[in-house]
Amino acid sequence: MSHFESPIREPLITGNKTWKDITNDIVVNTTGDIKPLWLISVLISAAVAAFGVFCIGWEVCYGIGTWGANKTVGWAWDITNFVWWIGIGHAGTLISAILLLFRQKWRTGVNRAAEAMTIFAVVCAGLFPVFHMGRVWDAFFIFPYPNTRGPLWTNFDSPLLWDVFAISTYFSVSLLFWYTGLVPDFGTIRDQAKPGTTRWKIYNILSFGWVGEAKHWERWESLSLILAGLSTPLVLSVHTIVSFDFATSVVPGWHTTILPPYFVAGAIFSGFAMVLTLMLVARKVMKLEDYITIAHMESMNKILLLTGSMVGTAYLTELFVAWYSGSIYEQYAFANRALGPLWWSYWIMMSCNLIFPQFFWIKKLRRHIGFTFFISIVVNIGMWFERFVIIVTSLYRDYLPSSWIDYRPTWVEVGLFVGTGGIFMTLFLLFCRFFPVVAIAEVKSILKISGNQGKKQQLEEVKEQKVYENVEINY
Amino acid sequence: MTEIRYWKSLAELNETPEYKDEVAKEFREDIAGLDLVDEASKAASSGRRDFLKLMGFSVSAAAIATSCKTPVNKAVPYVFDGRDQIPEVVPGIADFFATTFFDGTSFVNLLAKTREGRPIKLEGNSLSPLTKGGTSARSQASILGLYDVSRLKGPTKGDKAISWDQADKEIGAKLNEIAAAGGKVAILSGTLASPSTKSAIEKFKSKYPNTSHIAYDANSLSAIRKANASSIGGSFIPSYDFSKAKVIVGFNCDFLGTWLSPVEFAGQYATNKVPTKEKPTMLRHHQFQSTMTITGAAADYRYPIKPSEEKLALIALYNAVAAKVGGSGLSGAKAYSNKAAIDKIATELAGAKGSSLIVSGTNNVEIQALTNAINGILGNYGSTILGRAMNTKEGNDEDFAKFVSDLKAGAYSGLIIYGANPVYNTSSGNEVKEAISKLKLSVSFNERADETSSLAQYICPDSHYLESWNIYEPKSGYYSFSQPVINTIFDTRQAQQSLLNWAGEKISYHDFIKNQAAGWGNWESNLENGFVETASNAGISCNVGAALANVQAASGSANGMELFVYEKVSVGDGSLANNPLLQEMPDPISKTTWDNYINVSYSYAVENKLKLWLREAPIAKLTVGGKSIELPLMISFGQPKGTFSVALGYGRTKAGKVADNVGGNIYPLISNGVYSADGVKIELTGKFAKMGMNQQYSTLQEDNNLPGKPRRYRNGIIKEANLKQYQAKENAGNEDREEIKKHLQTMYSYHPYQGHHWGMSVDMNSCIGCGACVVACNVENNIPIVGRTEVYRGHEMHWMRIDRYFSGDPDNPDVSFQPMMCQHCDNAPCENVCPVNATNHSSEGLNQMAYNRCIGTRYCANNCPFKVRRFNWLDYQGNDSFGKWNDYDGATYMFEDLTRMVLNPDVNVRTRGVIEKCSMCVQRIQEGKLNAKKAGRPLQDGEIKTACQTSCPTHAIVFGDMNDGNSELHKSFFENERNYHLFEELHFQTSIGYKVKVRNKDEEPAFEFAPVMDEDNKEKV
Repeated sequence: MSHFESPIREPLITGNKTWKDITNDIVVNTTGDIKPLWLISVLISAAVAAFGVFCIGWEVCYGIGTWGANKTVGWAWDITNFVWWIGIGHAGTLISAILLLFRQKWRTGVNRAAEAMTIFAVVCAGLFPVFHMGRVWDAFFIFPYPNTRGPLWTNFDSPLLWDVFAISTYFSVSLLFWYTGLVPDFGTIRDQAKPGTTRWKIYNILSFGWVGEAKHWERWESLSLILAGLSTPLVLSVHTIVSFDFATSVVPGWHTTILPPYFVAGAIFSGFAMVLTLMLVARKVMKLEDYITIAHMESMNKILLLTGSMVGTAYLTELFVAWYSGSIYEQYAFANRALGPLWWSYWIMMSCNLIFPQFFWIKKLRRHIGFTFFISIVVNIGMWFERFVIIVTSLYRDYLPSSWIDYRPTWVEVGLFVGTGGIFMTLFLLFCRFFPVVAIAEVKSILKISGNQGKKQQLEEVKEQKVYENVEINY
Repeated sequence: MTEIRYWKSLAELNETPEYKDEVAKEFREDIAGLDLVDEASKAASSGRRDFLKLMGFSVSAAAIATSCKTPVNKAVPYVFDGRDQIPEVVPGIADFFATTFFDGTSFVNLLAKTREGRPIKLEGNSLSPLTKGGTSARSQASILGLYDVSRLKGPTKGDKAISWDQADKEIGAKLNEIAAAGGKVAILSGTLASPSTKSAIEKFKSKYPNTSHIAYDANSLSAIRKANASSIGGSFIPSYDFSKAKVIVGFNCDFLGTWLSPVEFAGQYATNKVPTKEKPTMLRHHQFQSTMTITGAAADYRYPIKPSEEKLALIALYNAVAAKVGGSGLSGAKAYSNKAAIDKIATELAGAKGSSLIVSGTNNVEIQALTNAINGILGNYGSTILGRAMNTKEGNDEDFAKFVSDLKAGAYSGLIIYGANPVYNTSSGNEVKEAISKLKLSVSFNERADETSSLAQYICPDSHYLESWNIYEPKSGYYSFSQPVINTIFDTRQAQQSLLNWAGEKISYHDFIKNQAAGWGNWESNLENGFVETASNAGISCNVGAALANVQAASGSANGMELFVYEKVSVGDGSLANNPLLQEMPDPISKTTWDNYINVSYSYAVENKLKLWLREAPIAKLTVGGKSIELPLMISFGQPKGTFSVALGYGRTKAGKVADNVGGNIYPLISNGVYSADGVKIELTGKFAKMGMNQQYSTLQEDNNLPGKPRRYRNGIIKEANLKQYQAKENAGNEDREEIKKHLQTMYSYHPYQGHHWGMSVDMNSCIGCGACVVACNVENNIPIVGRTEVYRGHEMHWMRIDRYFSGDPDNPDVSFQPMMCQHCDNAPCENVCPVNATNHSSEGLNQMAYNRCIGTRYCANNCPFKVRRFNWLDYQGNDSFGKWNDYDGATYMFEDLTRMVLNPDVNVRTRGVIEKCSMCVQRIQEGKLNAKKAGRPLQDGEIKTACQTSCPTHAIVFGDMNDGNSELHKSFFENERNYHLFEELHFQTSIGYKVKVRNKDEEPAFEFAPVMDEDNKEKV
């Protein structure tokens, strides 16, 4: 993938790394002593996850009535969380697939972790559609399997069924893509281990006996491209289909054609926010500052700015269309969102998603780690509220005012949500310890061009060629 | 013909001797492979013994494994043993028996539906000239009283169970002892309205002549009798005929809900409430009221009055009417403030002489005399007021007051309590309580150890009316029968039988009433009809002068805030409080379940900056004359300024697990027979109560609080017009429908509906919001009761509800009721979103649920524009295979095996985690279709009736086949211009039609709506 790159582009790997340095820097995180910080984090996360599992058990044993959902608000935190997690699960595939196809080199530093995050987020997301069912023990009814009851098929008209296919496809392709990327790196970790040890054996199996032949690389790259090609439409389709859950319904505030692009933009927005949240911590703790640089952060912040503005445009468009539609129900739904009893949730959404990302027009803020971390948290919160606003504030006051009601969550619902956070963090922390957090092979592939020493060399070359006469860049 | 011979081998063909030998042997040894098997088994050395060992082990292992904790399910097969066989009892086919519901206030002729010998549902008796097939919420719910586990299981002495023999012996001995000592015995009862019971009491009296019978009513109307003694020369309550009245003026008289005979009156009232093409007229109804009731809601004009103003208003009305029709006026009274209203009403009354009716529900002689006088000068006696005595309120306040003082004074040695509960439902509770303990003998016939009975020495529990024989006489000469439809479930005995036994009569009560009914024609056909009428109307006239002699115009004043005490349509005076169906039935006006509360007016709340928001109500201390009670505060739109109102019937302490400690008891705060008070104070306690409200948002127009509000927002939900508009244009209020219909286009094909196409039409003019349909639907469709907390959490399960909306001035709004159930849309939003096809469309237009298929995603409920789908949030039915996990209060109402006897075997009991909803009584549709099919004839219109339809006292609901051009429904849908469908512009194509509400008002409908409060804009209040 070597090609000419302008020397004024920022290097994506700093610290004068050699290929060996890269291997060592990444693999060292999987060897060595377990750090107390990591251990404490894992224990806390696992405890939270266990509480989440307890809440699931509680809900299954007693019933959905342990939640605050009611006759009018049939979905509340459950589907809010589902859409939120699914949205978060969009960044990984976007980075690994679409950015791969667009040859965005900066993706190499973050794609591994982002993909892992995708997988874990989809795992968390998947829990909600399953456990929001009143009779989870009959969840298999949702699969169109041959049966003796007629046979009785699923309802192919139902967006909920489309969800099942969309999410399971997305999950399997993402998993495959992620694992494919991991194979050469597992080989690297294995090679760092003493042959014959358990560690060596495990990583050997995980790497499918990767030896790095040219043929392996060729096949690996072909497969990566194929999977990238497969994933690209999925990035767009999954959240489109999730949005159909709402868009195809008749509920005022749901029944809008803008939802698919709005959801996809929102998903990427929230996904990148979560990648930033995690990677800003990880790069510090795992000393990956040379691989996940300020340049990476800035690129992602630009995406946040773009998608945040898209989402904001969608919010404003919705308001306009509600007014323009002439539908009193639609008008009321949006007026009520903004000014009704749950106005605060709407304004949290508006400010977090539309207003705060606009600060990223300022380059200084884009490159400020602390500020970026703050914004990433704000966006995570804002996007949760976006889903809450869409779901709860549409349902709780729809057509018949006689059924209008308010909604309050219970500890079980909150516990379930917090619990998925625990599950997510546990999986992510385990990933950080046992898996290569940065795609070693891929980072190596850009070292020559985008590493700082490569950049220096490029600069000297162009200086010699007198292309840029007055360029002074210090790396 | 030669026989063809088939052979298998040469040996067989030739019939060799070896072959013959082999064939002759019983066990052949040379079957191929047998020797190998044999060899193998020998080699494995597992012979017969091993086989037996192995079998022994596996059988015992299997037995051990499977015998652990295998539940033993006892089933009682329904067996015809040839002896007691009743030919008409066929398993799976329901039998109906005529019977009578009378709870001391409301009277209903009923048919008890029994399946395999157990009563499961009550239907109105359409033969009845009184109730005409209508029912009430209370009568519908009374079926559950039969299966109430809080009823006593048999006679008790103190806390000990005793036998009937012992009870009879001991009570008999004590009675004789008292009689010998010359002591007096009192029988204290509520209204009996039963000539046979009274005869039984007479028999008892003839044995023990020192016995007196005292009847009192918890919600008394004895002033009517007293006023009538002078006005009409007879101390009785006359019959009323609302169907003849063109102008009705009610004064705190909830005649559609709780007064005298509400089911009968509602039926009469509705006959003139619906304008049609042929007869575009309506009655005009004015209501003066101190709290909003369903009667007030049905009225065209309402005038909020303080209880103390009622007399002033009546005097003003009398004077105004007298000035118009001639008559001497009354002077000396303070002026009533709303003179304009009085003049308007007087003009209308004068124009409807002889066809108007003035009624008051206030238990006050002066007020009753004034209504008599007004009716008298208008000539209503003989037309709308009939001379036939009405016996549904027999209590006498003076008798009761004397009884209490006598009892205190020790004048009685024995007391027999029959259906009365003075310790709870009078303000003399404490006095009675003390006195009872001093009696030589105290016996209660009450079916439960309630507040009074628990103090009695003996309780000889009466049977439920569905287990009993009886004759009721709601009107003189109209006898209505009660017959047992099941053996006594517990070891109970009819009170009348006990009285007869103690009187020494050796006769069963059945024979006793049969003798009494001897002169009334064929016993069996009377019983089959459920009633017999032996007399018709008697003449009646009113002496206006004598009536007015009772009235002291100048007297009477009140100070401070006033309290008005009323009876709810659901639990009434509290005797039926232990019925969870009634507790969970939302009050028609407040939409609140499981509670009574202090109703305050909207203005009061605003003026006092009371933070009254919706689901959590502040608890206030209400003080009346030194006594106080803590109850939640609720805004009641239409509550007059300067007044509070509180419902009777709550705050039971010993009624059973359903009613105990639900709400507060207001009886001790008021004087006996006086249902109002002045100088009332409330103060906030700082505590809050979680109210089980079915409907939180009172108006259609919360939208009004938002900017850019169009004034006539969402008026497509309730459409209304006034009578003038209707007379001018039949589709008044419904004008937009033509335009809507023009735009209904679709790319998709419609369902074909080649056979039936079921639909339902609801007339919002005749609907009075009484809630009978809601309870009927609950019983018919096995709908679980969930308890207050679950209602509070928005988890109530009612398939059918009555939406209530207010419009106009929040201190005196118009009320609209809209029965709401599954609309069975032909374009159903719920159907296409279910991922597993659990809800689908029938070929007859029903939107149906396959409960077994439902996995509970609740997507359908979200997508239902009418929010009629109900989800089983928790295990409300006690049938969870996961075990009894429930910890919510009130979870167990449907869990008792006995209570579950009420379940309709034709309807599934739904499990936790599935959605359920109105099926348009599909079980009844199927039954009707099958009956027609068996008889080989087409289905008749009206043959199938849904549960809500049969329960309705005003016949507001019509079910039928849209494809049948001659059906009532077809006429309602396609020939009646008032018909409209909800959200028709959104093209759901609902199968339920509503008819525009026409009010007989001079003003055009107000489309400004009362404001709404909720937690987040509570500061505005």
